[in-house]
Amino acid sequence: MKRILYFTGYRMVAQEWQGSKLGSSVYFEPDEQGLDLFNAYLRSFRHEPVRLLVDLIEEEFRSIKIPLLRGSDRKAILERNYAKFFRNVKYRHAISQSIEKSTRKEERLLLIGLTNQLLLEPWLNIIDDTHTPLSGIISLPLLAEDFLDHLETDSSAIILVSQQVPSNLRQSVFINGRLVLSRLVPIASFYQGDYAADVIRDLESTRRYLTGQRLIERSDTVSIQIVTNKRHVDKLTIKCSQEGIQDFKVYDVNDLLARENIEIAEQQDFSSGLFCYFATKKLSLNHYAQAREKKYYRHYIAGMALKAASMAFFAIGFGLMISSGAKGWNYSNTVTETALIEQKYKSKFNQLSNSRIDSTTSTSTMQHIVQAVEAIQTNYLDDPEEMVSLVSQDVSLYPDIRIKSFVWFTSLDPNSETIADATWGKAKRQKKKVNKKNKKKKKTIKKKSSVNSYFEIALIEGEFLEFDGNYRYALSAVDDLEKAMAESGNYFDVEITRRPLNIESDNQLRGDVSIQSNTILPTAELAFRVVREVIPGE
Amino acid sequence: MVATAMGVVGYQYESTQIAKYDKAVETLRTTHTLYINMVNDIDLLEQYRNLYSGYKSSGLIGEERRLSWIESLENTNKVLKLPTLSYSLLPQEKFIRPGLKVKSGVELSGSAMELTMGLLHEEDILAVLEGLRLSIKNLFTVESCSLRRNSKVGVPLNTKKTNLRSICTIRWVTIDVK
Repeated sequence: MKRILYFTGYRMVAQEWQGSKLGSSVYFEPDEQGLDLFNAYLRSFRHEPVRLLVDLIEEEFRSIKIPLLRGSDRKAILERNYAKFFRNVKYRHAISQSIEKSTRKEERLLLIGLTNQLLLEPWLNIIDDTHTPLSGIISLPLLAEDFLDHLETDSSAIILVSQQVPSNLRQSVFINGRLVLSRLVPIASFYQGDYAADVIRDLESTRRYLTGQRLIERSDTVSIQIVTNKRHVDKLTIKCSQEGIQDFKVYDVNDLLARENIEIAEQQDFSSGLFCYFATKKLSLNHYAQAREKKYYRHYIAGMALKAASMAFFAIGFGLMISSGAKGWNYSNTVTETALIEQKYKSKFNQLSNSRIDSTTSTSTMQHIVQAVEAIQTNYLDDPEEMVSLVSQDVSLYPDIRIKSFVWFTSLDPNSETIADATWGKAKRQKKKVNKKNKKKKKTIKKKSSVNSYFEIALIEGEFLEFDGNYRYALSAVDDLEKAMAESGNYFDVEITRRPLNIESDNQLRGDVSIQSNTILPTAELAFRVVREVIPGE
Repeated sequence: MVATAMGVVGYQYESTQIAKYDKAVETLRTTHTLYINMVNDIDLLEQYRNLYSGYKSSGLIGEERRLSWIESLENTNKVLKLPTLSYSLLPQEKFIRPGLKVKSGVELSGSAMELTMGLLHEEDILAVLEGLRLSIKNLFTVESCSLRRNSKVGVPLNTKKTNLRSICTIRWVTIDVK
């Protein structure tokens, strides 16, 4: 609901509008009783905002031009013009209407002022006493600018004639859609007399004034738009035609109300309802109210803002709570589902756990054992068969050599001389001892072997079959055997440890070549040592 | 105040539920890991159970079965009929080979058995070893073997008496689970 206070200079009318429907209209006379009633009325809807629409004879309009300025300079010029045209006038206002470019930029202003503020003061005092939020004091002629769009004319100069009270006729002049002048003149013939003639006479007076003020040229066509009651429509139309007014239109105010879908219960003789409705349509409009008059309206706005902020905060808080609650609920559901899945896994786990056959030995231990057994079976189950086969194959190339003894063993150290020397963990230490002990006598194998390898070593002793004493042949055969075995690639090392005849310079050599000795059969023995590298995994 | 309180209450509720959710997810993850480990264990178990059971029943795993070894040796010689076959079993010791690494919880041991044999033919030595392998499902590795003729080179072998003397050392492997 919107509340409009309409002041005509005599009485105050309070209207309550619900959208486009006039709910109620209460009149307050300017006497003590009327003011008390107005006071009581305002208190009845305390803290609800009102706007005051004024339609006064004592309202003056001055159209001026000032240099285009901003800030304090403009304010100073306005103050000078106020002092010039509206000295001692409390309620005054300046409306910027256009900016004109001539030699310099100029701003066209309409200065308006209520020259008799005493008329308003008793009412404004009550509004102030009752702490009623007053959103603005609105000038009816200025408000009429918004009404021009609803008129059926394209003319740039319009005189809008309306009557809000029986005794006064309002003529507002608009040039290019902007108010330049408005007059409220007394008229006595509304109920009795030649109302149409009086209106036309006043219009002619206004027109002459406009021409005199050079607001329009004499040749300019001025559109006359008259809003009146039904009773006067025909009379005014005929009179305008008789007077030769070229551009005019007479409206029945009730038709306009109907066209605007404004619901007012009774037939209207005056246009006050129409303008009050336009006043309600404005979101915020103020011409005359100053800070003091709008004090409670600011309080109202601040209160509304606080309420809105509180509502917003409440809404945000509520929204956050709902959002968090929804998220939490989702999480809660997920937790429940997760717990169910976990239960399923636990159940399956328990089933599997119960179905395990050997609970004393872990699966990983079984795996390690199987892997260890496989490693041993693959890499460490040695026997002499392969070495016997290789050596037999090599020796068989020399049919007069026979094997007497074959000793085979495995060792980490390729230099192990006997089975007793074979080691599986202290090879390096023993190797050093052996090397030191036999430094001069024995050959030490220095070939590079693989990191994890170990060795098969075979010590073979043999003899030449039916040896005839030809040592040169026997030595040659042994050398050939050594060479053949070394070049075969089957061995890590091949060493002849004993030859049929020790003919090396650093050894002692004994023999008997006498004739008698020929009765003893000569022998040719040999011994050799072969080493094979065994690399696990190959 | 009311809005702030509502916001705080909502936030705390959400935080509590998130904490519960995180805990539940962690629990689920742990349970799932246990389950997956168990499934993997079962798979491994299926893979290794038969082998492990075989090793255990044959005596490869656990206490040494020296009597079984000796019985196997006797059974082997019943077939080969070697003139002499004596043995000497030494105390058990750790089984070490280069590059052979076992995981913790598993310990390899070995007991050396010295076999002294009188052979008719040099191939008898391989027959003894093969016979032992076939008669018992235990692991042994041959560490050394010596073979020496009793007669001079060139003298034909006598099929009714010992022609060769042989001494072999084999090592019986056993596995202990700690």
